[in-house]
Amino acid sequence: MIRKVKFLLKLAASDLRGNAPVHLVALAIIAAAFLTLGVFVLIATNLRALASHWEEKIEVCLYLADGTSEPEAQKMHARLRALPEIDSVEYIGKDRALEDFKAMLGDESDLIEGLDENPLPSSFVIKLKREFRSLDEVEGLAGRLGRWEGVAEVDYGAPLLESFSSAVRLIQGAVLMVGGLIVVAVVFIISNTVRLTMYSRKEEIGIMKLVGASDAMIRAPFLLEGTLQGAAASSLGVAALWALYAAALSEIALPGLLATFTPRFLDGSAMAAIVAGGSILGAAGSLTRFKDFAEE
Amino acid sequence: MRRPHRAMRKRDADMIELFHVGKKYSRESQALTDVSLKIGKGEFVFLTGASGAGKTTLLKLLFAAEKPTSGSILINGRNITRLSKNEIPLLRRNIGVVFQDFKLIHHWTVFQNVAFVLEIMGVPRNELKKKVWHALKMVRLHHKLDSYPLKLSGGEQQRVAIARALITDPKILLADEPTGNLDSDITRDIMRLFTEINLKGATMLIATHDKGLLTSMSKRVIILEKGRMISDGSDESSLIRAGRLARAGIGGVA
Repeated sequence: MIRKVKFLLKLAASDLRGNAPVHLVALAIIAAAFLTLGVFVLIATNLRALASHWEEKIEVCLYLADGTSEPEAQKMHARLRALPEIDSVEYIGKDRALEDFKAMLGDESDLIEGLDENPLPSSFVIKLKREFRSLDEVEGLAGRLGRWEGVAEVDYGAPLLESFSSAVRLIQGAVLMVGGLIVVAVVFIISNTVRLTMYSRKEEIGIMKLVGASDAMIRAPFLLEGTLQGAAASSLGVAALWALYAAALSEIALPGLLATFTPRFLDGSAMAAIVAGGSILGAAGSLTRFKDFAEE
Repeated sequence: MRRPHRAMRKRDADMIELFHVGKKYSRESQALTDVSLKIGKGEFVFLTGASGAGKTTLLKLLFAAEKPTSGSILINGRNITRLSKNEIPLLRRNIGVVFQDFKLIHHWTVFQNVAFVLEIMGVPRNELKKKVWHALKMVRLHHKLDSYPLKLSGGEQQRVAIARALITDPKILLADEPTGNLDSDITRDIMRLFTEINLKGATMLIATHDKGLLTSMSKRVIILEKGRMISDGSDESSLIRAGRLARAGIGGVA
């Protein structure tokens, strides 16, 4: 048995050598297909990560109506702290708000030098407990706070977060579609490659059958080749994706809004899944074309 | 009255038996019609006829490359027309086949070509080496183990093919125009080899349209014409045989 397996392995290896150009071209094409798929998966993964990163950092800003007195503000502070959703609350009085604003303007702070009166409202900056940092929870809380007396406005970056979430959903849909297309393409390419090598060895296969080789013995080396090819191409695709990722990370500085976010690479299980998928597709591709040669 | 010795032979002494075998490839082409014949164990038989007479088809039926459309075929008492797909390789390992175009795998060495069947049967390495060496010794090519077929002459390639056919010690050796591509000296050489193999017990069925071979070797000759068996004789004079062959369209290749 071991002798037979060794012999079939040798046959597969000798065919890979003999048809090296065909196999290399196919390998490159399939690797490119997996790279494309990988790019989409990577983008989707990172957008999802970014979404939760932003949700992590979600803050609710409660602006007080003009003319709210200091004691009223103190009362409101206590009431906020008692809410179960809330982790911490910081009060920012009118004066502090103005200072912050000046600091933000920097050199151009003279723009507001001439103001007679501080136009900025006092506000509370509210941080939520971890379990409440999601778009839905924040929306609910903001709605309730907005109805409190003395509250002028509640701000939590709603439009940005909402449009971002729907973009993530859209891209996940695209990943599924691209993934499906790539699965079909890979099976097609591998089955064609196997067919090409089978044609190039048609005579040889005929001879093997004449002297008593069974179908299974003729099929085994091709199955092995297809599986190997799928595994190698998907690994290569993942490696190329990593190279692309590393280059992008060092070359491209993320704009302000994204500066605190480090894009991540696929995790181990995702990479293993891609390579396993590649091997299975390779095996499937090599089996589809065998029927033509079964009858001789 | 022609073959009294055959009439007396017991049924189980037949290696190849055909009963009313017919083969149609399509509606128009009837390759074989109602062929019945028996070939005894250890017999040496020539099969001849003009090209298209059905020689190759008959051989293909015997190693199950084709199935007959009608009739039945027994090899060593076993009906091979009802073999399953998985049994065909096993049948072929017990029948050696030699072709006009040698059918060697060119990127394999002589050793690899001859050893192939043993490899897929999982024969242990040492035994395999020994067997390959003996088979090649028999065809006097044991010094060319590592050569590639295309580096060899036509006669040598055919001898490698014969060694490959012999490697499993088959009871039957079929040959389809084995000397069709070889000149007459080498043809004689191959025929000597076939006689030697026959003497060791193998049943030989050799298709050829080489009139020189048929007349010079006094063996049983089965003649096919347009798919029908028109003559089966072993004891006729060479003059009668030459006449029969001429009528069947066998020219003098030799």
